[in-house]
Amino acid sequence: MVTGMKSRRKFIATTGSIGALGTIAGCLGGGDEDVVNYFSWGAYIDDDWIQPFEEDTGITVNTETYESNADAINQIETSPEGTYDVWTPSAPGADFERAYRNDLLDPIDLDNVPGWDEHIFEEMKLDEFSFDGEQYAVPMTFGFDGAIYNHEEVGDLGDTISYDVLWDEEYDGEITTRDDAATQIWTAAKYLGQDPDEPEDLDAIEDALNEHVDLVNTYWTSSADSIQNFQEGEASIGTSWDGAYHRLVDDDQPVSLAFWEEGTIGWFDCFCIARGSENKEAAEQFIDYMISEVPREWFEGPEYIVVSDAVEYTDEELETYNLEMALENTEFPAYNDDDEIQTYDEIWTDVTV
Amino acid sequence: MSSQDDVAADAVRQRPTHEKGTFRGRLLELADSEVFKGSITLGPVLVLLTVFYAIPVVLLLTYSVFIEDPFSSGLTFDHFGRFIDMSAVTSFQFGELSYVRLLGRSLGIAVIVTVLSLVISYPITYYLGQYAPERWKIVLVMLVIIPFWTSYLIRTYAWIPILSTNGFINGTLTALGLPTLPLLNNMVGSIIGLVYVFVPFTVLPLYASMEGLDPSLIEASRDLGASRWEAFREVVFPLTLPGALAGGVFVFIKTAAAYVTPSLLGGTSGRMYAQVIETQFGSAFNWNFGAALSVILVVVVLGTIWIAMRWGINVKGSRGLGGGGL
Repeated sequence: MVTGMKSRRKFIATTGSIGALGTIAGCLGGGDEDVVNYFSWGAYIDDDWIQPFEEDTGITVNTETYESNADAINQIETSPEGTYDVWTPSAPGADFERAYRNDLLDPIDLDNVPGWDEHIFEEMKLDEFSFDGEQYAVPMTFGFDGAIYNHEEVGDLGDTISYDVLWDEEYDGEITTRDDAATQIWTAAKYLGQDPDEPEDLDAIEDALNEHVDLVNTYWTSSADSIQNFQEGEASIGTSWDGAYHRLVDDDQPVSLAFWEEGTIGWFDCFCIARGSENKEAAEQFIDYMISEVPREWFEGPEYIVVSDAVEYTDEELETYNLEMALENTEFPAYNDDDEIQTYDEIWTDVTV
Repeated sequence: MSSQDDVAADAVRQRPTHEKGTFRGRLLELADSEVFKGSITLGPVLVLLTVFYAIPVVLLLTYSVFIEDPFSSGLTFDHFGRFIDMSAVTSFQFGELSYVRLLGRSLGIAVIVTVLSLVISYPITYYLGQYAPERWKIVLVMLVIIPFWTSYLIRTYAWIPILSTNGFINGTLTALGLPTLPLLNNMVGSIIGLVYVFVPFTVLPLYASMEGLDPSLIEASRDLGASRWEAFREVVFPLTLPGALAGGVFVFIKTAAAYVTPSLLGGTSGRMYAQVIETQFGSAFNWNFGAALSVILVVVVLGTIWIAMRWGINVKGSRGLGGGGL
């Protein structure tokens, strides 16, 4: 697969990327020592945080956004090496491992990231951030695919509920879940009591998803979508990211957040260095800045859980974000190879058609 | 050709003479050559078509027939085979042909959107072309064009607070004591959004046809006893068919491949073919299958249009009035 992906990059490069190279190089200024090309989720980019770094260090940070880990992986694979320096995939798990296997990551020299020792919580320094003894990810925020429900519509369901509610006819037409084949297979496997990383009965999973789809009003593909579904009354219960829940609360929506009894998908958004980075030291300097000296507003925007002591949480906030419970209740889905992805995609297409 | 003609032709053909051998002379000769003039006029168009049309299409075709990476893996038609599962066909399990069903649904939605766009456009353009005061025409046409000044995405998002359960329409129905309607996250939502976005594309060509329609023909048909409907059916419709076909074909193509509107407004039942193509290039990491699905869409849409064009020509033939073709 790694070889295949390299060939794809080569093919793309020789057919269509010459123009793109010129454009991107012109826009991003790759290869310049005083530049960091930062590629991230929109929520993790803001001049309020980036400008102070630029003023302190004289390093220019060029930014570009993506909307999913898959988008980022595809973009980095098909761009000339050195186009990006820092990116922020979710890790550990399927996408992070794909990025490593497809050679999209360069190791991080932690000597250049003192914030790793100074600020990152010890329990957040997962072994899975390393491959073959080299560090590839520095965590910045933690989140999970929790259960969100409108307590005025469905009542108080507590803070741990079963996936059974997603198959409960009582909520027919009020459910929203994520439009993602791998996530749906994982969830259905949990609902059926199967191993979500190696499900043994895919036919049963497809049958279960066929029952689930009849009850769903709509699927979401982004945090904004899921927020909107609750705001507009299109959903009263479903899955979403915890950051979406916090933003709904800020909007005075009557929603509650819960973990899934059978297991909840968790993830870290991590700083990584893109393969072929020509500004590696500046990139490491930028990562260090982002985990250690960034004002707390940086984290309060996306409203996910900060995994360092760079933010001094109040007791109330600690209770709200519930980090310990979040860690205890979450799991990281395993890597799916191309055949598994194809199988899952076919099942999901059958179900949604 | 007479000798006088020859002289005239020679005069036309006569080229200014340049100093031969000098750089300036060679440059002027080159500038005066047919090849240079052809390159100047045709060149930019060819470059544009090559870069933005031919290369992407060739890339799609290439990806669709390789197992994985072009030229470093074997040739295959399996990606097309995955679209039509022959075992499901031979066992008459047509329900299992998910991709075919999805394409059928997309084409069905495209037909509905095209017909609705034309139905909405006909009275608007009939008024604009036949009755609207001259000084207001430009203003009214501008009203059709103005939405184009706003982003397609924003215009589509704007429908969410209108169609949602808590939205404007359902809020009004609730206030009137009436039951709410499911308008969002289903096929209805997709169709409303698509019709709204594409109506201008049928209005503008139809308006051009209506403008050229001689009102005395309608008067004549009425004088001869035709009802309003008969006058429309026998006179207005055949004569404006070229405009309707031009707009209709465009809307059909765009709708069959629609992605943004069904993603935002369509929910589960309004899901369309282009969304599955996007998934292949995104989270499924299967560009080859995505390319095959794209090629199939292009072929099916072009085939459908070809059939429609044939139908359009037949209409022209049967009416013996205007119309026909694009």
